[in-house]
Amino acid sequence: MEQLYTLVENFTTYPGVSGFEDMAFDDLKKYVETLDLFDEIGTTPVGSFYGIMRCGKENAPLILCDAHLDTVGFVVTEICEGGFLRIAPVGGFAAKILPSSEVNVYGKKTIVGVFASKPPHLQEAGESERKMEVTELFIDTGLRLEELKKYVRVGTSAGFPCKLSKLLGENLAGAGFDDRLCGASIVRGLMMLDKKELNVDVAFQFSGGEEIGYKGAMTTAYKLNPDKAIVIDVTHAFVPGAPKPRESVRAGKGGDICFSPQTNRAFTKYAIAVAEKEGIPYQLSASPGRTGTNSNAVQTAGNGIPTFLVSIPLKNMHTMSEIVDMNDAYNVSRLVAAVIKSM
Amino acid sequence: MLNLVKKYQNAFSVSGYEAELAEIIKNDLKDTCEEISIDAMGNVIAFKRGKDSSKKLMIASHMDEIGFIATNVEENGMIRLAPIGGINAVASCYHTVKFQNGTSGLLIVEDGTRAGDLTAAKLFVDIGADSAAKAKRKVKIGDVCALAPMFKKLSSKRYASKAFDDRVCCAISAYAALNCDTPAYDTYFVFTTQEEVGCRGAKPSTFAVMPDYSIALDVTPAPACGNPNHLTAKLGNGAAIKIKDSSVICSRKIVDRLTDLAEEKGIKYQYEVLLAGGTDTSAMQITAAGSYAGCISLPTRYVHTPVETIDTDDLKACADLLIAFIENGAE
Repeated sequence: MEQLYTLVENFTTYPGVSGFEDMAFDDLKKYVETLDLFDEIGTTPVGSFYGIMRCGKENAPLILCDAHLDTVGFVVTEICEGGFLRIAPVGGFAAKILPSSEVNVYGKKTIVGVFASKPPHLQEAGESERKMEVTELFIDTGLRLEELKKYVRVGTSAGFPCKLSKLLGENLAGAGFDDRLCGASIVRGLMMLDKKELNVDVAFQFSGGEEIGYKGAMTTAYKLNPDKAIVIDVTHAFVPGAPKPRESVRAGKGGDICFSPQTNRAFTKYAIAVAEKEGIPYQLSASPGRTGTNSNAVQTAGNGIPTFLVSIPLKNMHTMSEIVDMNDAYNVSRLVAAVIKSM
Repeated sequence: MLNLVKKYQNAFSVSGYEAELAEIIKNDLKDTCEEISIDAMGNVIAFKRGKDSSKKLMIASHMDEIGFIATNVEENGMIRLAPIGGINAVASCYHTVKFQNGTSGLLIVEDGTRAGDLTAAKLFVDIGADSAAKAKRKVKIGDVCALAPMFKKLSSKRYASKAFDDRVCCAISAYAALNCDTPAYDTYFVFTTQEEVGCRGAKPSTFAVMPDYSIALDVTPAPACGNPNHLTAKLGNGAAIKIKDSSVICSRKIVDRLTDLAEEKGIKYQYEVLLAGGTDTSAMQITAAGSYAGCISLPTRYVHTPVETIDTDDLKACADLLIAFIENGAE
């Protein structure tokens, strides 16, 4: 578990708003190399980072584990008088969570800013009830215009800084858990394996562009051309007031294994059998649509790839205070390791 | 280049029906390119060998424009329509339209339609026939039409026309093919089909080319009176280097390289962040194993209207920037 915390701490510090994942590549590569897991490491034009573990056996099938590297964020659209920045969203946001929160602007150097917030004293009647758009908001950097222009241009990315807070039990709060946490879970799972004992090669893809249309997953899966794939993402854990169909997915009950037309039923059942045999906690859900994860993109890449989806329950998704029960993340690591080992 | 724009602008080329324009472009480029072909989707693929044949560059501009397809001929001879692509009904009505067979008609709004209710479903074409039988001699269900060509000079630098989106960029691409020195890489000038209905031509043509680097050329909406949509590219401020639109976030490698080339060559440029609208850039970035993709956009006012307006200084800046990238490559 300690190693999993260390991985999460590392992975959540890198910048990497969708489309700007290459900003994370150098640090990520350096860190992953210290783990001495992969025989081959690479990056792609569409923002994906990947590593391949070879078992050393001839013609071994390739199993792909996918999590996404990119996070939701912003791009600068205008640099304004007084050190303010106007922005557009990258990925899905509720604008109302933003005012007064801290934000990193990833210019020539990283600038810490705060989303400007209109105090209640200055608001007109009814203003607080109106729907807010991200494009109406400003980031306040406090810098003079000339100074700001040295570091920031139209198109500079910005995202939430991650400050981890350990809550009671194994609960952890922070930003970018969607989906850096899942990358950490996969890597922790791979660390449980002795690759010489495996009958399969294993690829880990930390894919780019998920939040803007699964772009890294579809292209990297095409490139790596695996025989089977495991996609890992976060899912909404139940909180009071959530819709009825979501009641079954709870934080602390293990990874959420998803049945969907966009996943492979046989491989999913196989993974469930492995979890049962090894006594690894899991829960089940069903998604009639495209699951909102990389599973559809991976499943339909190239000639088609049998894909199994497991998600880690997360509260407050796409905010600066996402909350995960780390027991769930660890149990997903165990499941990934057990499935690969059993093949 | 303006002559190319005028020539391309006159061809009939609604999404799915680009063959006439494809032949014109093929004819223009057949002497300057080593190979030129038209694929099953109707894309024109023109190839120029580069200094370094280990890398491939694909350039895409789309030949198609938005239009209408006839869905029914009513008893009184009026022709009902469905839109092809993102039709702006307000901007299209009461203009002349032309069918592929040359039949002209007027695009009329159903009586009693209030401004707020005006959608493409309220539009029909009056070709002057007084019965269904007479109308059917000229127009059959499934025939397509587009706004009739017009080309207007507003001032010494500014021109208005329908379908500058994206003929003007086809002209930039053809001009670059005709005027560039030996390209840095093996370069494929692709004139795509069906962009307006979902980048359908760019996907298979990218799969066929398998580029390492890709540049799309397209128009981007520029503000005129007010700017409620937070448009960043302004008319007359130079070539717009795309940062993102709703279909793509451009590869930083391409954005930075285009910026450096513009600085180095003294080409006027600006950045574009577009909140709504997609381009072939996306298809080129994510087809197969993916490529480094970017887009040079021409700021255009009143996109998807009969009076799309451009500035010739921007036009020249876009062509200069494209040629600089073709000749100098991505590194």
